[in-house]
Amino acid sequence: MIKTGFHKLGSPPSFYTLAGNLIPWLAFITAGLMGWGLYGGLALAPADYQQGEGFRIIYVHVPSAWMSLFVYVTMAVAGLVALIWRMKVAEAWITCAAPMGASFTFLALATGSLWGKPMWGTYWVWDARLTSELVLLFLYLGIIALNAAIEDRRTAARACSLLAIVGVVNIPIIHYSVEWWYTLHQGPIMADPANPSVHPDMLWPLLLMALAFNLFFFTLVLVRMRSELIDRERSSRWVEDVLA
Amino acid sequence: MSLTHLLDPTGHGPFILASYGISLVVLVWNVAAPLVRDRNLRREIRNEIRARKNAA
Repeated sequence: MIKTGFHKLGSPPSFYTLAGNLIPWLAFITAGLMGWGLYGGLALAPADYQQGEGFRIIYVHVPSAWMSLFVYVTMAVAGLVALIWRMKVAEAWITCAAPMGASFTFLALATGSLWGKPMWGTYWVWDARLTSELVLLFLYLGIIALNAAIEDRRTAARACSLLAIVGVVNIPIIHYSVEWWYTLHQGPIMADPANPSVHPDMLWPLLLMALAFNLFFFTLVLVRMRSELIDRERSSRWVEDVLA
Repeated sequence: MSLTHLLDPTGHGPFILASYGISLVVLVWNVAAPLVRDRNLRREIRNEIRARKNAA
């Protein structure tokens, strides 16, 4: 049954239909969670006793930083699937997730800089966490450029898969950089999920925003994949049927 | 958080506003870019299909 489901999910027409059914629900839930999370973070959570109101930047910074890592891991997994099983859907995932991953990484770096100025007194330092996150942005940009540079889509997808798999070594480096090296960036706030270092009144909006960013990614990667699949299969009968 | 805090140029307000402003731009781009591409692509493929049918 799992094998049948896996193959069915790997079939572009089945995936196209499934994604089309999921997108409205995911969009609705994402909008609700994001609205609730923002209200909690901006209006209900108390100001931090040291950072004052400036701490509220974490409600966009932390979810985008988490997503920058998560998206890359999904791309590496899709890369493995694409290389082993040659699944078109997995190839499309890498192509479609990369721009979103790059945007989350850019957002994490930009909002981190804007948080750093009032808290650290500088927009940027070349510490391990910030530098490895910048390397991640370059990896995303590299995958986007590689995909655009190779004309044959399947060859491009294989090259991007390989780069995604090789680049995944940067993910644990980013995650553990604050523990392996002395950095200006603070340690993880959720190192022990049972005992987080953030007060619950500040934590629940953060978790809601993280979930909202996650669903935001899934919603829009599905929208992108539907386009990618009909573009790749434009001369197929099923595309003619769905666009009729 | 009060509006006074957000608008106070000597406090953290401008940094918060800039962060949420950039986030809004990035999120809107993430929503708009695939929708615009999808609309244009569908139009293009429909034209191709119509052309194929006319040629046949």
